[in-house]
Amino acid sequence: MALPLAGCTGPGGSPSSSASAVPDDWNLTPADIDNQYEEFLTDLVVKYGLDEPVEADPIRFVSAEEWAVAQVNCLNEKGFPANVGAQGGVTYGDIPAEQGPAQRRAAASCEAEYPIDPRYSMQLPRSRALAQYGFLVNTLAPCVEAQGYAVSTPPSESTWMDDYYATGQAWDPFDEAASQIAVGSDDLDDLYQACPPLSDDVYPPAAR
Amino acid sequence: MQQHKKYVGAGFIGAVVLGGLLAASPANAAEGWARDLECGTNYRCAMNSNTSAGVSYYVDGALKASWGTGGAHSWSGPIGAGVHTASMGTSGTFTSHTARCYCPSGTSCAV
Repeated sequence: MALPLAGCTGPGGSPSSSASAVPDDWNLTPADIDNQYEEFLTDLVVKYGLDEPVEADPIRFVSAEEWAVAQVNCLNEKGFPANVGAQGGVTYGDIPAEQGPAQRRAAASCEAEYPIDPRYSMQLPRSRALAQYGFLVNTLAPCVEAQGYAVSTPPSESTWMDDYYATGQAWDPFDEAASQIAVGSDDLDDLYQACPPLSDDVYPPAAR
Repeated sequence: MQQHKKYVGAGFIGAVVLGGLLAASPANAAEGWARDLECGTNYRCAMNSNTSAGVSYYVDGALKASWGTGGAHSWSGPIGAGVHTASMGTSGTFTSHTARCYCPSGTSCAV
């Protein structure tokens, strides 16, 4: 299938790989991208609660910023109401209950046609993990604090890196703020608008 | 600090994980989760999650929201009175997930 994702090289693998095996920068080969896409198709079956595999022809990878618009346009073309949501996702219009399975199949097909850049679901290479730590400490934490949320003292860079590569989970001021928001509140929408949680230093735009 | 709306937690009929509906695939990290909710008149449904990859929310089999990347996400919307199934599916793994009925602040709700 060989969907191109120029500018990205080296599989990051899944979190909790050993630190010595971590590449320094993104380094995805075409074979890595094909393998990721095949796994992604399998995962879509679970994500959309389907009972059979997704069949679609991939058109192009999209960035996190483009993802919702691409899905909404695709869904609308397939006849399903959808809009771009405030958290960078898709919100769906009301449909008759019996159309639920067809709607979920359409959404899965659209995501297969316009899959998100696979780097977003991969472990960060070392240089990007360091960039992520810097982004969290210097940009995201001050931003969420300015929005009125409490943020704990950041760990040292080495501790954060150890936590990240050991478990895939590490100190994240956005998650800390999100955990302070009451269920049913719109405050998370506002937080996404005020403090976007993804950085181009970590996920540089791929040449398209 | 953020102003939090009054949350009324009534309306649960308990956490009913429907393993047969959304079973995690053993071949990959994707996970599904579902619970049944019993909501009164004028209640809304609120769903929250934190995931390692993109996630979709649906109620009674109809999609309500989805995202392409992981992290903290939420959705809330109107839901008719009665029993409903709130479901989530992610291409990755869940760190947390909730689904609840709530009575919006200033709204008259009947159980």
